[in-house]
Amino acid sequence: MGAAIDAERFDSRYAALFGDLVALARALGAGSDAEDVAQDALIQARSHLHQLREPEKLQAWARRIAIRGACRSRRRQMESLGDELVQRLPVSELPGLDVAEAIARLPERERLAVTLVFGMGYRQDEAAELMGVAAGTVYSSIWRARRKLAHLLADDERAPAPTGRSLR
Amino acid sequence: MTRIAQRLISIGLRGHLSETRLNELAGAATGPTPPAGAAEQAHLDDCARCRGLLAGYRRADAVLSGAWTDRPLRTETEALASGDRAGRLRVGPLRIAGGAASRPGRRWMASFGAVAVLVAVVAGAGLLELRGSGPPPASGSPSAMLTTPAGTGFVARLPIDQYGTFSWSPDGAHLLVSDDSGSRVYDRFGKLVSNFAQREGWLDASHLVAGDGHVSNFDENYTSESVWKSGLVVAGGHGSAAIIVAVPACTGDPIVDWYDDGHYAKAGEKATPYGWSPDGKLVLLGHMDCSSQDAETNGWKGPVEVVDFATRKVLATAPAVRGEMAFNPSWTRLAAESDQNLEIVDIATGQVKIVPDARLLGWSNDDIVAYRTPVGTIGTVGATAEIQPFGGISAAWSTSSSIGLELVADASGNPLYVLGANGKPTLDLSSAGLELVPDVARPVPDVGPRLSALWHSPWSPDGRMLAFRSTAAVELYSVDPGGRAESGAPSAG
Repeated sequence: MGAAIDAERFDSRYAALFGDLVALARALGAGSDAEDVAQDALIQARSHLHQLREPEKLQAWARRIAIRGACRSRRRQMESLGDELVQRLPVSELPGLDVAEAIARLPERERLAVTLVFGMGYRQDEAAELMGVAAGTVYSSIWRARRKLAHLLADDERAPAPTGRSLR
Repeated sequence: MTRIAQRLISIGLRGHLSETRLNELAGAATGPTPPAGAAEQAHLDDCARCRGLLAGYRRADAVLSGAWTDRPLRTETEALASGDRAGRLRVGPLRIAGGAASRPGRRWMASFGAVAVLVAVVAGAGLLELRGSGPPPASGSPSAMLTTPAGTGFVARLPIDQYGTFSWSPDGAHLLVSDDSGSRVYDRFGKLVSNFAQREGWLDASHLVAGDGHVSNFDENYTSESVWKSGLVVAGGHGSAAIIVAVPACTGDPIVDWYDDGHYAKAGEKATPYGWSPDGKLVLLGHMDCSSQDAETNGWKGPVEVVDFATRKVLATAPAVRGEMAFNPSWTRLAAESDQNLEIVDIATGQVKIVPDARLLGWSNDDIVAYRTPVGTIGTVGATAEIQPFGGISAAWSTSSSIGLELVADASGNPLYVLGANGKPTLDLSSAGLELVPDVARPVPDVGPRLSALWHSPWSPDGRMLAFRSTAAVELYSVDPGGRAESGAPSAG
């Protein structure tokens, strides 16, 4: 564990952290709120620096706060049905299937996991740290998302699953 | 077992290719993927469902592993996605199929129906007194105080989503059902007692602890929006009311914080808590590297220690666990999966026995472990004797309740029937569409990396009730030791 980080050292990294958090918040669906989310996250982090047990994890800590803010912002925007919602989505589309819609409809934890890992390139343990969950939760979230996508993107000739388990 | 085996040896493989196999065939599984065998290919040629799902897995892989970019959702999509639990709705061509689309609605109806029958159970104390809660009745000591539905047969169907989990309270009086929509406590008649926050577990027979560390009486409603405060709470303890909180910081191992009697007892131990013995005295702590490539692709692997929580002494160690674990009924031995092998640990002596090429099914009784062989049949092995097949190879195995009733299941985890005290089948479950699943705090995915988890018996601690998973439900059954069948099993679905 390194030395505790002070406000002055934190401020010296503000610009770099801010840009990183804006990009992250935008990718997770904060849209036009992305800069506000980033700023709020940094304000919150700065006011709680004493709680940071491992200063070398400052960026991950700030990202985790920003992810929560981005999720709240996305939920607000979903409720308001205002402007088009921008978020990180797969480029590929399949004929007759709306892949973006399938991703957007995943439960929040699963959508976060696949977006961070596949859409943004984080390792699964990094995504776990950012999401504030155990690594195993990210593993299982990704595999749940993958299974759901497989069902959602399956050929429609298939019959209901016979194993007694439904899609959800 | 031999008698059971002879009756069931003719049971053939059921239904479709497993999703695990479809996943492998889609090419996503790591390592060499065995190609479809002739029988599998013939099934695929004939089965539209498996063919369609195989295509779905391939498409999902292509979509996820392809390029991503920040882009707007279509307005129509945004409106649809605004609904909570949006993942319950199908998109693409499946949306055209009216029958499939109506199922999520029915599940919601079932949930609301369950809420409508909310029954408030009045308990004495309002404020939590951890020290005063006292130890729960020991498993294996049936409590005469528990009211049990009369007769043998189906009792209730409780809603749960696909990845939900359920667990009996330490005294068997209540069942906790947890899924993405929250958690609910039911009594043995299937009546809803309370709603609780997510990621919680039984602290003792009277108390639940939430993912944020909040402790409530089992009959108090408690909800919390916070799912971030802690990544994992493994509740348990016996008298001491101990819980373990695993701080979600997995660059390396999770960090375990210990709480004992409501007091902070130990901090920062790098370990992965998997659960408690049913008496709440032993806790399983894994020491896994969760950041390696092997862990990412195949799941965490490492030693799991059996720790006496009161003294913090390591009693025994399963050397290389990756998969399911289970205590025997008297909590004197632990069976744990290690890739292809099964490790049987004697907690008193620390001795470890390895059963090669075996996947854990469960403990038939204190001394016999049932396992699945590589070819899908069932073997049993004596935990105290030399490692050798016990009772031959069969198509079924059984797990005993604390009062000697036996639940018979096949190698796929499908319950078949219950043998009464007279040794005769008293409850036929073979057509009820049930699954014998671990009622662990965390689900074990049936595809993807294996997550180690602690398996508990479907029997309630007093041996009178059974809990199984079925389609979008947990089903409760009661068993009369005298063999009276009154209510009967419901039809599948």
